[in-house]
Amino acid sequence: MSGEPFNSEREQAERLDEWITAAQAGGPPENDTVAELRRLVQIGRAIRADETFARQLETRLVRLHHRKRRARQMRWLSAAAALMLVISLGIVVLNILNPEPRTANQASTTTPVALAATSTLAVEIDRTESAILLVSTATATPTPTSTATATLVVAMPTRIPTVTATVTSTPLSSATLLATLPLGTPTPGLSSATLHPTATPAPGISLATPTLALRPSPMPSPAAATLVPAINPTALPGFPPVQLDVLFVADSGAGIAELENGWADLSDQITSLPGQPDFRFGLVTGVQTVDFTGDVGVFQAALQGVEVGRGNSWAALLDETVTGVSWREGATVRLVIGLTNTHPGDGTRDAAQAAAAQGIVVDVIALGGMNEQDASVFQEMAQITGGHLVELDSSGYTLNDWIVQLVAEELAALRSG
Amino acid sequence: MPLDPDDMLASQARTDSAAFAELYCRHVDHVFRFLMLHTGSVDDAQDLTALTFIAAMERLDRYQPQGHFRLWLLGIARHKAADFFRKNKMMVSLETIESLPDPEPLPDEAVHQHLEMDRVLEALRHLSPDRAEALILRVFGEHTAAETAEIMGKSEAAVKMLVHRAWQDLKRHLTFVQEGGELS
Repeated sequence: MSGEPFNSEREQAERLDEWITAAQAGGPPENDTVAELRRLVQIGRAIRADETFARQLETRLVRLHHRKRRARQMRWLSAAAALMLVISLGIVVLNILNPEPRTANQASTTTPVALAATSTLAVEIDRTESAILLVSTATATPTPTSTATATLVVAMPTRIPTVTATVTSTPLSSATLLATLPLGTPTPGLSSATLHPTATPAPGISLATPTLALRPSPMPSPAAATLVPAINPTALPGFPPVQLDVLFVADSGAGIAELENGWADLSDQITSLPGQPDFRFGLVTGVQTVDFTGDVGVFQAALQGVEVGRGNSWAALLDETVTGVSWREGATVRLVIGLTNTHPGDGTRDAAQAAAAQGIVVDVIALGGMNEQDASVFQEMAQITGGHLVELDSSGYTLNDWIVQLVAEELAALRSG
Repeated sequence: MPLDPDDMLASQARTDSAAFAELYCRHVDHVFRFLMLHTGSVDDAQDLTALTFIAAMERLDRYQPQGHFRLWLLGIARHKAADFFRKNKMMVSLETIESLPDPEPLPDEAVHQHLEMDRVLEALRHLSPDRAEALILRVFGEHTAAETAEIMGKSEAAVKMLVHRAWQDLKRHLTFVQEGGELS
């Protein structure tokens, strides 16, 4: 190193700092030290993230960001919907207590729409949302003036372009659009009503597109219905086939037993989801790992007699999901469905972040009761990856219902992301 | 006073995926460089870069827009690197850095630069963690002494002293290797 002598190390440090600034600024080096420092700066500038890595990470981050944003919206909208439901029920109660005709100025912010016998109500929702309608229905019996309320859930599953759902109600009904929610939002506590929802494609959708059909929703109410497409959306332009790797992770034999018992139905439901994605299934139990297979029969055989360990921490189980199976690259949904009947253990935050870094979404289904502390750990673990924690006991859904719902939601996220 | 572009993007990125992607593109090389120089391993630097941006996404709501987004991000990267070393209990062994992309792949110069980079990364491994970090941020990261001090939570004078001592150590190691010595 060249340069004049300095009185103290502090002065030398000050001078070096000036030379570093000079080396970074460019221009002819004033001495050997600046020249050497400039070489180091150039070496630093040559270190860049590999383009392929950077692009893949960007894709994963954007997808994760999108999921997190939707989860946040879902929480807000759920709260808003609950509030609006309370307000609407209050209005209904007031109407019962005070049956005078309501003037326009007295209309609530939710403004129910009176429906005649043949009225329809059009609801604009996109392919990642559900619409919740609060419908007040005047019934003929037992008392002509009695009023019942019901909520109708209209959901647009994956791969469907924006559709106008038209809901036809019975005479003397009124309907209020409460909110639109991300697809898959549970809406428990629905009551019955005589509603006949139908759906028609929106303008612009080809007439050649087959019609939509209705099937019962997994919701516990006959009033709830889910609009599902009776079409093969792969026929729609602009939607290339997608790959979906579903890895089941079970921390107890209970999860495997339930999965095995319902596997025939479950595999039929999943593989017939809209778009007929290219599915593969795998399994991690902490004792045994079954790598992905696209053959549902082979997977079913693997489920029988699979060994399950107890006491495996979820950090270790998640590590195995990252390193122990062969996820596909490209446009692949990487989904872990965790089946838990025990405690999460330590280290789940780091393990979840590592999974998220690989684009893996972790949904957790609690098979039995769960204390608040464990629920909070599992909730955080799922949220870090953009997934959900759901509790089987309190939902009214079966295990198969939830698995199908979670898979459908991931497919929707891929489409909208 | 106009808002810093990073701060504007950070504000939008709370709800806008495209804004987050833009922030990522602006800083991914810088974060990767910092972690690469820390770990000496391309794979580890890539993993830690991913973890850094995921953590940044989770904490974006807590970011205070003061024109210091990059410093904030490097603060996260620093913690991720510290976690990594705590778990691994030691500095990782250096991998070959042949997989490092060269923006201007002139064959001879690229080979020479890789060799130099290899020597520098090896020498950095033998510096004390504080000195290495100060040098990485000030020289390779091209932060001012004040910015380096903010990231490291030290005074500016302390950072200048650390950089000075790191520079002396680095030169000693590089000279030693050049003369045929082998670092332990």
